[in-house]
Amino acid sequence: MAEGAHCTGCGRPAAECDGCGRASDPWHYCPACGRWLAVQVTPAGWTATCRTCATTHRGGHRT
Amino acid sequence: MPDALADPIAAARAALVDERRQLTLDELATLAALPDADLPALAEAAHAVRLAWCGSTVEIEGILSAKTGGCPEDCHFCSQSSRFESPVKALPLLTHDEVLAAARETAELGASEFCLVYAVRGPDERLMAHLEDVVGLVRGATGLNVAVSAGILTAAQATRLAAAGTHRYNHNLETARSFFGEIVTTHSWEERFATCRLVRDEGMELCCGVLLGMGESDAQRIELIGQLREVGPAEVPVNFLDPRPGTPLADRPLMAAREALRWIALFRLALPDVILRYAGGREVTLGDLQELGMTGGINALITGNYLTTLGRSPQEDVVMLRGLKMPIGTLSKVI
Repeated sequence: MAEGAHCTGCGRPAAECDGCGRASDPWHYCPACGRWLAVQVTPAGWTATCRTCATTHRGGHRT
Repeated sequence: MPDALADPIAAARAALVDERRQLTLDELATLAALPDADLPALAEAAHAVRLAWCGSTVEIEGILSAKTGGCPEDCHFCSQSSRFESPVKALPLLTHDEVLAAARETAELGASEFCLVYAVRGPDERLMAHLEDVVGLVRGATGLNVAVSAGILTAAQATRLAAAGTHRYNHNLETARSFFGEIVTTHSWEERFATCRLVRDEGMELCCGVLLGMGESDAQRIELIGQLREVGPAEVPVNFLDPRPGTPLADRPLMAAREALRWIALFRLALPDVILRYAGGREVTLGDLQELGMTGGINALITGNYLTTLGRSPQEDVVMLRGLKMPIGTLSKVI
């Protein structure tokens, strides 16, 4: 997915990748800065925290 | 009695349902070699065996990665190995509160079993102390049966986990002994086997899973079935390889759905009394055909998300089971 300036699947700028994340994966890279996210998956959802931007993204299940 | 040469499926069904006799590995190899046209009959026989040995109840489990990534082992399918360039990065051990919050979520999804999974070679003293706390905390706070997966155990550690109230201990053989060296080099198949034995010796239920689609042959899958029989698991989670980016198996193709359904049926015919659980990879491998596994040998499932990847919505599983008129409940191996 590329819902910001960076692809959440690989972290590259959106201009270079239009979204390589899989439906079975949570976000792994910050859509704002492209840095690695600290990802915790639980049975009911997932959180992904960017330590640079100090933001936490959340999601549910496979889309 | 059906003629095993003329109709091996009918003969297998009669052996398991009428005679309550386990199939030999040769009989299983014959079934594994049947043409695809026989798959519906094979699945139907597996379903009949499941109902005869285990009933119609389905057990639901939630799993939690309570210590993600940074694992020193090199299991070639795993995105949590520190040896591969995977997008999954190491996180610290979850706190007791974080584990409890996930357990409460899991209970709300309708699960009766909650498995805490740790990406380690085996537990160190800090992890043992954590486990001795959280197993009882989760059980007391949620009523869930608590399972643990923390790698290779010593006898003393197995004793302590059993005393802490661990209901099941998960330790997968993953694949046949003859293929294991292609997949893991940092520990041996024999070490896994020894831990499986320790689990049973301490009176915990053994959960011992398989991962299909890594390049093993049909003969090696039959070999694996024989090895599973030796360790006597209560539960066998069936995983299908979901090739993970950065791992040595990243470029392997997904297993074909019909092959997956064939092997679900064969595992049920081989292990009639086990809790045979849908585990990782079912969504990508079977897609809309997941119901066929439930009517072809499966009697349990992991619901919701997996350790580092996402599963389908638990509501979809509930709708599927309602449609199949399969009640949700707790299972134990019929002994």
